[in-house]
Amino acid sequence: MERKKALRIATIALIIATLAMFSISIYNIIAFVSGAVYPGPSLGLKQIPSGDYLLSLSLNSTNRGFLDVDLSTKMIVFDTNGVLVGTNSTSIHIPAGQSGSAYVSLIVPSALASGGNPQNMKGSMQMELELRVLWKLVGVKEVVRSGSGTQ
Amino acid sequence: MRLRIKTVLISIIILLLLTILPIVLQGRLTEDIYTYLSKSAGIDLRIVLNDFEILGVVIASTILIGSLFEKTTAIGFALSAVTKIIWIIVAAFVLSLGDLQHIGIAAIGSSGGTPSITVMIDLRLFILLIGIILVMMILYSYLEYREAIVKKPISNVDAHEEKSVT
Repeated sequence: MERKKALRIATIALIIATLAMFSISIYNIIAFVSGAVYPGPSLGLKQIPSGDYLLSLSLNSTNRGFLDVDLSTKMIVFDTNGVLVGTNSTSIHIPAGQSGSAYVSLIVPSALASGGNPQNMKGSMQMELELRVLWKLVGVKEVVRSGSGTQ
Repeated sequence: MRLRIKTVLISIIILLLLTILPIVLQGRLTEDIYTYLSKSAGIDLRIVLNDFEILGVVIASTILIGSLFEKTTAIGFALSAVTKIIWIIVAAFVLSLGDLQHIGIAAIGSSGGTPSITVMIDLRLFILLIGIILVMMILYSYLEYREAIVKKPISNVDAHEEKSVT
């Protein structure tokens, strides 16, 4: 009888905890995304002394939620034949209520970076932005693929 | 065996929401909407609605059949456990947006266009928690069932002892 009662209480407690965790996680993700919209991720392409280009992705964000957020960004570049040119990633931890910035860069051969404009780059590019909350157990990942010969 | 009005009503509501509504929707939605959702979000709405229809029939009939038997009987307990397992499948189905190949990951994305954007929401933790909750519920039903089995012989023994005393 006692075991049954304990099991019933534990089940109800777990249901409440699950609902609370779900609501808090979703709220925190939405709060973080709304804080990341302005000014939003910026993509840059600069020529370096070797003649190649440095492709960079930077993101400044404020964590408006009440849970810590782990933010990771990844950049992958392929040439016109779909062969991997390079990949780089970074990840940061932003405590609740604080701001943080993520920066990731990649050297791109000059043959692919025409005119120094990331929009006109030859080949294809993949950008990944992932944010995780609740000890990295819940998260959202956005994958943006652009260019010809998209992988 | 008796059919409770409350259970019948629950079954009807489930059938209306999960089976009848998708059937009506399928008849009303135009081809453009299916194409748009497929291209913009990567969701095959026809498959999702069909799956919901099947789940609706299965859940409603399991609840209805389950109500015919007492929870303390073996069949009643088995049906109650089956219903809970079906609910795990429903939770996985909903949280995966109909894609059971990637359980717990709701993926929404455009296809074909440049740039293509895919958003994946990782909700596997909640599927795991729902699974644990339903296993605990099954365990509770089992304890109820076992209690009922154990009680029967004891009450018989008690009755026998009372007789012998008098």
